[in-house]
Amino acid sequence: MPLVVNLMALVMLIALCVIMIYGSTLARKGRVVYIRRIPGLDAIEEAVSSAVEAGRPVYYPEGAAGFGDAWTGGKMAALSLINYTAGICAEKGCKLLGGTISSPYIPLMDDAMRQAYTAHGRPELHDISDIRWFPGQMAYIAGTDTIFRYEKPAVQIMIGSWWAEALSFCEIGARSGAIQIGGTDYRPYMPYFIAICDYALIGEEIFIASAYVSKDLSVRITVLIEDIYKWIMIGFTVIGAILVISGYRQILGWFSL
Amino acid sequence: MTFLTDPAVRYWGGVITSWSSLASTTATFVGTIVLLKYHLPRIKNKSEKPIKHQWFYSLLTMSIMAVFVVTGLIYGMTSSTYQWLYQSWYSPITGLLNAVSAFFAVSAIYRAFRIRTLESAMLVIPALIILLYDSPLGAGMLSIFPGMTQLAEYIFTYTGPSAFRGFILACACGTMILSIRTIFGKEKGFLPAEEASVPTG
Repeated sequence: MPLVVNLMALVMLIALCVIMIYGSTLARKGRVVYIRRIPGLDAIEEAVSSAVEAGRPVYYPEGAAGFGDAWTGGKMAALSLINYTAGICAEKGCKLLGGTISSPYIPLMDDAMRQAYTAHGRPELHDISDIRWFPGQMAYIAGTDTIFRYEKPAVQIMIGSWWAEALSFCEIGARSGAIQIGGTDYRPYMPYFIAICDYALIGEEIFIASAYVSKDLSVRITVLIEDIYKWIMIGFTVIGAILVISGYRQILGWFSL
Repeated sequence: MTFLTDPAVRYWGGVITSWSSLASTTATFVGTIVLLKYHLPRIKNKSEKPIKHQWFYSLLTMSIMAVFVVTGLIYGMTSSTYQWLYQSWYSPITGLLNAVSAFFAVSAIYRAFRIRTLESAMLVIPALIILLYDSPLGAGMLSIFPGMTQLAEYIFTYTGPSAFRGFILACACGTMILSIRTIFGKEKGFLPAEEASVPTG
């Protein structure tokens, strides 16, 4: 039995780490990375301002996707954006409500919100009961409908890993006339956000969100690293396609997990 | 654990993974505290906010939670009593909510299928073709127009999956970068509050 399985995956992971170190070196030398505008992220501040004008809260539900599996990435990205949104809410004196299906996410969400409110000198605006826990997908939909019916959030931000509840959330928000910003890394539900939300983040845009909102060069440079890695992957895809068409089908075995 | 075949590595990988369930169980207590912090003051103050008779609904929620917790602790989650509670109380309510959400879905699909921009037209037209292609009556209707079935098959087999794969590739790269950023300590968007500022681009 070989000592290492999934050799190609390991090689790709090491390659990524090497590119990451190279990126950090560039950041230390002061290399500035230009990140194109992402309207969905820029719109958060504008949306919070409109919520303040209306005297209504902002609602940030995170998706019902699992925590601790392949969807953790989306949840981590959402956490950064919760912190960012809470910071803007604190600056403008607005209440941020959070929603989650996953109990391990509650302390993380609470911490992200509390830190942002405290840093802006408004800790009184946040309480752990502002985070609503709905231990079930259907309960989450019903609970969100109740929140919109009685607490009337003016903005709904749905950036994270979303499953089937995405469509219902979009519909609930749209019915109440809330400004909606959505984005997910789960392919089947991405079209709903694009079709219904006012602003949508597509796929990888949710992962660069924390780099986008950060002023730290070493964080921003990871967007460049991602692009380099993506080009490598595209190169592999093209070479693989050519080899497979040419009859070298055994190459498929190298990349199977 | 995925890369190495050594039994010791796999064993310890499994042990460490199982620790996550301990963290999840502990976090459930935090969830319970959140629920208590929300509902108990409303019961105590006989609150009528945000809805009329809110205190009663809060009391009902807390009572049901107590029934499940006590039954689970006394009889165990696999006992027939607990299972009866779950099957007779929880499952029907979930089924009901699932059925109600279907109306949301229909309304949302109507909203999504309104052609307002070029992008939504590009979404709606292939969606309608695929919708007809994938339903028995629609497939018959589609076959009246020459070439439409072949077009639907082309969209279904080539256009859609090609776009999806691009999306999946980009998301996979994004997830990996985020993970590496977390391991290297660069992903700290949720830690330093001083960075919670407006981007300068």
